[in-house]
Amino acid sequence: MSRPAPLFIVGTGRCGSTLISKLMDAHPRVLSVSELLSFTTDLGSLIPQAFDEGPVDGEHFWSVVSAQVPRSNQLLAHGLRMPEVLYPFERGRYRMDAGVPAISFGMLPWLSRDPDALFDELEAHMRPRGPASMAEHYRHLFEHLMHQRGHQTWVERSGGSLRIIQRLVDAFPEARFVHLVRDGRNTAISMSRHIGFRMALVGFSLLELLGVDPWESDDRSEVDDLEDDLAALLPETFTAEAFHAYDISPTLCGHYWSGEIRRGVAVLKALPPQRVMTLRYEDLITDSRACMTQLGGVLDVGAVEDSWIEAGLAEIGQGRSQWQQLDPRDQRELDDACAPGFAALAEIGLHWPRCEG
Amino acid sequence: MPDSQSCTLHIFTGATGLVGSATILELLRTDPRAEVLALLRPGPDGAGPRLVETLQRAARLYGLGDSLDEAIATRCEALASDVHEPRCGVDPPARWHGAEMWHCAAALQFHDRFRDAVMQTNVEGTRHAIELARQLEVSTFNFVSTAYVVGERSGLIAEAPIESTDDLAPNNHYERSKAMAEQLVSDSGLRVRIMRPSIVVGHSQTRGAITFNSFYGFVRGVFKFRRLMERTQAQLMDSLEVRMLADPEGMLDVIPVDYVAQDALALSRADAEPGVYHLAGIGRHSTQRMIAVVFETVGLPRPIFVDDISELTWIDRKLHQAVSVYNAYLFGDKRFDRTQVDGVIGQSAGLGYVLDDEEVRRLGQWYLDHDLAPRKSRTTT
Repeated sequence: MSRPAPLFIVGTGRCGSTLISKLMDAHPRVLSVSELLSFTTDLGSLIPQAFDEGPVDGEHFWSVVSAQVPRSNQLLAHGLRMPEVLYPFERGRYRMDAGVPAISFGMLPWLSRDPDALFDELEAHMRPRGPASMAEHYRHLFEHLMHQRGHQTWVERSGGSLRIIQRLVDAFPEARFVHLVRDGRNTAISMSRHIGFRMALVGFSLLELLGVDPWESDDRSEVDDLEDDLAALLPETFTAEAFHAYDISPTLCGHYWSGEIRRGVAVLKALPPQRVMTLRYEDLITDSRACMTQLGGVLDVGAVEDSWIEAGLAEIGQGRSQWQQLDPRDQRELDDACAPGFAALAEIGLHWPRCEG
Repeated sequence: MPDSQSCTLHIFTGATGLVGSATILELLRTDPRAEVLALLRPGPDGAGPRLVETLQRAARLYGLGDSLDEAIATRCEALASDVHEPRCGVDPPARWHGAEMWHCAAALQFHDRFRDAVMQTNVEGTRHAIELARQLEVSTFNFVSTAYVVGERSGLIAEAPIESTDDLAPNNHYERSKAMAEQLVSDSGLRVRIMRPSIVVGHSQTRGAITFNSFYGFVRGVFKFRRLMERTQAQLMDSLEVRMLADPEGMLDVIPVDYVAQDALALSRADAEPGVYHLAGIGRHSTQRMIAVVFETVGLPRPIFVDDISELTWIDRKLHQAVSVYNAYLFGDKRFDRTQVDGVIGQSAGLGYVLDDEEVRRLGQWYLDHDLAPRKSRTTT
């Protein structure tokens, strides 16, 4: 039996890709996998570990996907739960303040009402496996779930996976990609308010200013370089209040968005065009039927069924962030920050109206 | 009055700091009769090994090679001690009596969260050093303060004691702590010299340094800011224009550590009267030009200087925040009077020192090459 070609939905995060996961989940022949890589990489901070290049056995693979990742768990321990965390704490075996395995944050509860039982089943299935690349283990995991549920293909989507686009291309050489793009200004506003993105940016700041990853090392020899508001977010001093108070502006997120878009577009442009579909989130909202038809074609599981499109249309709502509601100066700053990203997208024919003045 | 000519024992706190270690090395180099007793926290390796390692490292960085290794081994004694304890936590033997004491220990942590710790070290620590000095009946108590102790005052700064900390507008709690400590030593009844170096940088010939505060802290802040922004977006800082606030008329006062040590010891050898002495005023340069050179040294375009904080973008404000603890240096033009110090020592060892763009670049580059650049940015992609 031939194996389905891997299909990844990629984007900067906060670009509406969760909606795509929901649409895929509604498809009767598709296994929709959600957020595994977001949490396995601990919000984009442990990427090398999640893509170990050498052959690793199933034991190692399982240790990575079931790791108690520190940033994500720190958030939970302080009651900071992002919408992507679906684990049912009220009836599951894990508590918010005691640590959750990476795979159980979002992926398993997405797939099952009993994520603990699924965890046990997958652990028993994956751990005895012999040496293989991490990519092959991921693929086997997804195919195992796909066959179990009688699906024909699988689609993986993790928020912010454009950050690992080169890793995905290298690890899955035959993979296809749907790149979802949303107006960078609205994306940036949404990032600046999102717990996970805020934590990722806090993590970057701590790493650079402290010189070590404070979740891995207790070396605090450069702690004097941390401003007070950032020092309050070290693992040993972290509080929810300090986290909420920390200033992360849409402008910073706009710069981040531009960087991700530039890098992502460059990598995807180098692939054969038939392996990449780029979709504007705004088109998905305003021209949903056409976009869903396009998406259905990418799935390569037979004719696109009207029933799936109708079900999908009911899921599609409106984006919330509106950059035009910022004051004019902040609009300009944000627009400037997003300019390199817009320029990269313009090169592949995607345009958004820009800030006037 | 104690006879300083017969006094060969010098007791130091802060012997592993920039000024303390350089002063000890200069003492060993120039005075064969001098013996050093260093009071220091032992750290994980013990007081003795810590002192030897620091002094030997400093000697090599300052171009002295191993020429002082024997003197360090035979004429320096280290004693585990802590300025946070009464009398620095030591029970002094009789042979220490009448020594000359150098209180160089200080905490240079500028952020607000360190306020209590800095007060504890710089104020209470000085109180404890004074207690010890009284018990020892030291010949002279040399207190290393800072020329920037006068807070927001600008213009000509006299070599005069601080009358009252109430009149000062310190830029941060570090300056406040030094002002309070100066008052403590002035009121101690001891024979006191207050020595106020300005911004102390590395050795005048090698540019080497063993600790990295003030000027180096600013360089590090800009360096780390660049790395952080580039983690946000690769090559972001190659094209992004950054605005900064800095006094267009401001001048910074910098002194290499070897000149601090030489001038301080010249005061000691001349048995200078109690008073305040500025170890400053030999190297001055435009604040804005120094900032511009620092930016270039760490690989950033020169910033655009603006007058009003409202002209800063969010990114500019982040940078401003990152270096805000150095605001004391960025605003106001202080000129440090040297009448008293020159009256005693004739002329500074640093006379002729030129602080220009090239010298700022050399200082920054040394730090970049020896400490900052070797730090690899950890990949997360």
